[in-house]
Amino acid sequence: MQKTERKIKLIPGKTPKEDRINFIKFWANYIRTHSDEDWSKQQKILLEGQYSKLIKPKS
Amino acid sequence: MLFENNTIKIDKVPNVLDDLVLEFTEILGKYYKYVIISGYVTILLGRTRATEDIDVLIEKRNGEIFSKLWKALLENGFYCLNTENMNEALSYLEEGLAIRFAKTATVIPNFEVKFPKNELEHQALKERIKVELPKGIIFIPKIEQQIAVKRILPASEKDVEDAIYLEELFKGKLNKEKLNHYIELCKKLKEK
Repeated sequence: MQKTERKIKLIPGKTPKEDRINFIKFWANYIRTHSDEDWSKQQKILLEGQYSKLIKPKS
Repeated sequence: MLFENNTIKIDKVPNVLDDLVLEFTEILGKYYKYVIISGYVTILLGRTRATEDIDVLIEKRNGEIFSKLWKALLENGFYCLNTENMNEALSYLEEGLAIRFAKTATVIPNFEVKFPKNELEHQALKERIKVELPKGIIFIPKIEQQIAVKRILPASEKDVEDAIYLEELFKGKLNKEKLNHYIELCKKLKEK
């Protein structure tokens, strides 16, 4: 699971469910092949968009 | 992300959810052996989805320990969503029910805390593994167990997706014997 940056192609799914599963696998592969800083910065943006008004950072 | 000797090391950029879990488990871990199960585990390991609750199993200990935990949580800005009465909260736990804690003036996300009820949950606690983050440590079940539970006993489509995600993320690193053991255990529970 170490950081050898390489391009992975996302295969479009034939149904919404298949497309979603393909994306989940694509993202897992992205994590396996990119640095923790890279993927976790992206995850942070998504999570903080959803939680920022609910969770106040510890002072 | 490194996975070696029952430890996962993630040099993660901290997010608010991880920070909240670390704040809660830092207090909890002083009094109880714990393990975080279910949805948050996959979020901790990178999945891009939210959750409204963080499920936590704690070992059974006496009432005195629980009162220390209760006091520490209240002092650190948490409250129990089920009751303001500590003895009532403890009696819920002892009845096999879950109690929830959240930060004051909020409801979600919250921590759903319970004692282990079946062999699978006891094993999750006993065989817990460590996730090391830059700001602290969080305990989770073995990855093989999480995959088996989510594959065989899914509560929702999210669980099915979580299983696919974990299998892909830890491809080539899973213990197949362990995975089969947990799958059989889950199947037995499903039949009950």
